[in-house]
Amino acid sequence: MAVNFRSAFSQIVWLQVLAVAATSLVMPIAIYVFLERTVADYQVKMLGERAQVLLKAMTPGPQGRVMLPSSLTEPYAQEISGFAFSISDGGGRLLISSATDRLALAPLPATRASQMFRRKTGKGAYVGVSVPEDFHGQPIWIQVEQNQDNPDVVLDDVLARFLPAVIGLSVGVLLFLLLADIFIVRRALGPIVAASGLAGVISPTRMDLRLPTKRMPSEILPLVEAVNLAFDRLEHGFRAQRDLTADVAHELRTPLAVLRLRAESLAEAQLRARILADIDVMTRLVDQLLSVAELEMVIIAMDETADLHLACLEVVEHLAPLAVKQGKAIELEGSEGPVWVHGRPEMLFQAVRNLVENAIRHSPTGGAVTVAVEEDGVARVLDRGPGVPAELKDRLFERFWRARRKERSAVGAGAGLGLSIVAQIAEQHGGRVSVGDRPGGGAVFSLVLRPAPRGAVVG
Amino acid sequence: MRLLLVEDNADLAELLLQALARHGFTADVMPTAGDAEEAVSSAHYAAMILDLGLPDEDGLLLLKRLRKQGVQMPVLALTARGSVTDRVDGLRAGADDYLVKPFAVEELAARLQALMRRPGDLLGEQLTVGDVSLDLQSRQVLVDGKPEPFSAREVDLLEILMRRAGRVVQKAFVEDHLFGLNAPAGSNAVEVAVHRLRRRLQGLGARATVHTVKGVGYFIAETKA
Repeated sequence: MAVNFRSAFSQIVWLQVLAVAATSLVMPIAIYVFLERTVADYQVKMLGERAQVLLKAMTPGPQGRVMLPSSLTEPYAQEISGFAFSISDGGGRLLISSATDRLALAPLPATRASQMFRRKTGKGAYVGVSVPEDFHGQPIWIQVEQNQDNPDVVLDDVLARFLPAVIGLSVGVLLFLLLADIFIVRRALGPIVAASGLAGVISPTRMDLRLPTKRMPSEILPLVEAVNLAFDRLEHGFRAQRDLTADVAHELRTPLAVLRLRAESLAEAQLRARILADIDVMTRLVDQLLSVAELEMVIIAMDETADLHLACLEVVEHLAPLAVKQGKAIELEGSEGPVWVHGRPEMLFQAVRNLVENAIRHSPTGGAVTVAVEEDGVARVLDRGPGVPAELKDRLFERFWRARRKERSAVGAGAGLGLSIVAQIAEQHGGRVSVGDRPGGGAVFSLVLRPAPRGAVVG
Repeated sequence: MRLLLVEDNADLAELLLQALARHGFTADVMPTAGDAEEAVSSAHYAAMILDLGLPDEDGLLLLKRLRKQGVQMPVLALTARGSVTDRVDGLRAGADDYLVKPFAVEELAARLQALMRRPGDLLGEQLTVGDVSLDLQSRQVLVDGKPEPFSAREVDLLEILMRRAGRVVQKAFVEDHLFGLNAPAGSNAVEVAVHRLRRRLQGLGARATVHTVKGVGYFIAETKA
């Protein structure tokens, strides 16, 4: 059975549990067996010594029997001592025994070598030894046994108590070790888990992050350093791209200025107006390109806050004369006091301004653009223009999104980068921008931002 | 009015010279910071148009140096760099105004004229929007050249709006400056005053209109043709 472990931690834990379980079983049993052997050896030795004592005290008796002094045999005869002996000849005939039934204690071994025997009767469990000896040239068997149940016999009782105790103790100790191990492994894996979490946060808006190398296990360190190096290259690539965009945009400005001056001196009024309008479109695009490049590397700190209401107010103030000049109106409504959100004031201003410029562009003459600020950090820009078809709603915020002519007229060719900048700013603020239909006709652009506690650090 | 134009791009410099000439300005062209510095020390100019992207030195460094030397001539900085920080740096270095390329010559000319106004003019003895002009000393209002009667309150309101012609004045600001400590109860007073002024101007056929920006404030601008 091969189980596939996805997690190093669970792999370590499960295998440790198995090892601990196996050890918990095997160790006590092994110890027990060893101890039991030792006890048995000791008993055999002790009984063997008794057999020698008997041998030395034996004297031949009538009819081939043997005789033992009663001082020696008396303890055996008393049941309370727990000892018994029997001596048989080579053929198996009982010569003398302490047992009342006058039988050999146990069957004699087949080979002439010392052997241990055990027997159990209603009176108890006996351990004994059969020792082959020579007595005046005749082979005899001396058997001595001891009743284990006798209170004087301590060893087996100790052993019996020993096993559950040692199992309990070893299981306890091993369990503790297991828990300690789990804690240790967790701790060792800690930096790796943390680094993984951090790696997940890295994004274009947070290009400055690097994985920590302090406390990183040496096995993982090369990997982490390689990842950090990759991030360095990524950041470098982003910066290079941004700088290129910015440089190109800057370089375009002077030729555009030259072009504009030449165009201004054109005699034909209509042609001049058209060309100047085209140059303005190009200029706005250049401005937006620079905006995008600058925004790309912006990182908003956790504690930067801005007043959304103020940003909207400033946008409306700034664009009102322009709107009126085009025969359109613009108004501000909603929350009257500050609306604090996480973010940077000038970026919020830019986002709202782009939305409002877009709304003004699509409003009919005589129409009004409404900017509404809500207390939970939402700014909405509403217009009475043609609205946005359902299938275009998501694509509006893409950069340089190409529209078919029909769609372009619905949304306007001047979209360019403006809305994608709004989306970019929204993303960097941890918010989002979306467009929906306005009841009664037109579009509603919603800029949703993260509310912040009242007036922390103002950016 | 002789200007000093510091610009290294020959095409741009030539076109600017022609455009400025159309607006009644003559100018000397210096293509480098070094040349410009010499010119400033040897001749007098009414104002300087300074392109910040010069080949031999950053225009801002030149400007800082000139200001340190005590050159007080008005300077309009011209540049391809248009971020907020760039503008602030430019103004801090001593520029009086800041224009980002590309620009309309109209705007350049207007800003130059604004820069070169004499101190008396800046204090504004007279405010003009469209065909409405207000004499601040006599508190007299002329519409299309003809004096027209306006109440004191209307004149005050006109002054507030005309000082920031074309830009929105916030309602609270109007309230404070129109009524001061005697602000009547209810925020309607400003609305009413604005409404009356608007009607008055419309009635007179003036080419200046008072606009309301709901939720923000008011502004006065030349009436769209």
